[in-house]
Amino acid sequence: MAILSGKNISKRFGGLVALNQIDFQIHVNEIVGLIGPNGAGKTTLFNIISGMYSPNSGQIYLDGDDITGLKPHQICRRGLARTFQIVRPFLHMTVLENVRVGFLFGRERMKSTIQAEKEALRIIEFVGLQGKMHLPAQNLTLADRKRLEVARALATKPRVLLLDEVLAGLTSTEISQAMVLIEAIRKELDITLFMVEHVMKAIIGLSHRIIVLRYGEKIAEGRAEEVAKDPKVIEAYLGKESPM
Amino acid sequence: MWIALTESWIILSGYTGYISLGHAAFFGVGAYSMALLWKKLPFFTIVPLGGLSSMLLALAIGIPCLRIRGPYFVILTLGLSEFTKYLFINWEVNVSGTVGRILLGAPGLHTFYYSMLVIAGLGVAAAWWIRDSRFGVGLRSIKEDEEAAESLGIHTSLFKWLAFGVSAFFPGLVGSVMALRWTYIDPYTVFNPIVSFQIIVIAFLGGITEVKGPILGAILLTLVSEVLWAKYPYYYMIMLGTLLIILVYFIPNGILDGLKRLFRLPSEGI
Repeated sequence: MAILSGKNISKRFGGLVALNQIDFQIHVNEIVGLIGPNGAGKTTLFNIISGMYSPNSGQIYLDGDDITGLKPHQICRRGLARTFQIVRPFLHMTVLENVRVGFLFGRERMKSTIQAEKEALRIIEFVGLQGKMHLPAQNLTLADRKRLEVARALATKPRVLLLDEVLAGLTSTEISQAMVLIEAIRKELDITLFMVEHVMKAIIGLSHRIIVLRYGEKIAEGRAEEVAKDPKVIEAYLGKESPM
Repeated sequence: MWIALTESWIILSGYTGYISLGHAAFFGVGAYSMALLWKKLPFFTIVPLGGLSSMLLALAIGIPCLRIRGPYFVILTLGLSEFTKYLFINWEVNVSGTVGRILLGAPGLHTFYYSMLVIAGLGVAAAWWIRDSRFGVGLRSIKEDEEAAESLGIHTSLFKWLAFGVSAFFPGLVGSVMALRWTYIDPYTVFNPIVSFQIIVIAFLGGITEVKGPILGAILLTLVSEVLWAKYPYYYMIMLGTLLIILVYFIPNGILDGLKRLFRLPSEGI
């Protein structure tokens, strides 16, 4: 069953067609990777799904409901959370305070800040930041900031989580740790994941399916091994073999 | 008086980062509420009405204002505050054919003193209570990163709008009390943009994100300006200005923060 799907999504910025009639379906408890060269429209698609942009045409459905044109905060409350490509934790708040925001305003909409704090502790432990709970976010390393951003998104209790390049800029040990975390999010928290990623090791290791975008068009979709062999994908990344 | 004004400013500008230069408008509307209703209603009824009418004005002008950010917001609030002033001037001259209002039969000094104390207390309480409430957490998230806040389920436009309204309530109360204290008001004095500027000076002096900031800032600025004024009546504005430049340059986060850093106290978590 599709928990998140898009039909005929198009987005133009002036004369530039960022997305052209994209269809996609994400099934319950799946991890789907979204890849493509720079400028392919991956982040644009995420911005449309999460409500930050409205598409020029097409509809987004979350669990069967049309969520096209809703505000980001409304979409968040219906159970779709996201992280940002360039991490955006609240730098002057501590890790605990950051995560608490998700509980106060996400799907749970907790009234009590104290109760939200208690719940926040559990998520912080889940992502492995328990030792750094009272540090302001600005003192964290990039890898920890990314964990924090994931924790904050998880605190809104999403059913679907969009991850926008959470692995970019991490060392290979950090990537392996983050991969374990992502798999745990799916398995233990029952969350469906849709992730943009450039780190191929991770995308192939984690994704059940991969969607490939190029210049705003969907050029391939399928299991990792199939997609990697697709001549159109190879061409998109490496260019055509020149007839020498 | 300044404590109440600045605390109310902190609720909007300190917490959300939307710097308002328009709080004089709310002060003025409060003052005029008193002028129009004085002798028709009892003192303690008019003061809250003054607050409410400021709040209504804020909610009305908040709809367009809060759609823009940064320096544009600052300039628009200043502009709207001046606009309100000229509306009142126009009304005085063309409709009622007057320049200002004289308020007779003012209550004694004690009434003023205690009502201002109560208002300041309410202002401090409101700023303190909001800071760590769910509402305050939302406002502070907006200051940190508005888009990220929105993506976490915070109805950012609603929150900013409410903060603007709450923030306008207190200057309305203060304005209505002060109108009676001054016994004569006209639009130039009650909508004086200097009021807005002084609020900001106090806020930056004390520290803009903490509840104690305005208390400290207001006491300090009032004391310093009184002393300087008494001793050096001709140069005191220059000295005060220089002092402020130095303060802002060396301790941009306010005196509290400056002291903390001086004594290497660990900054307290919340």
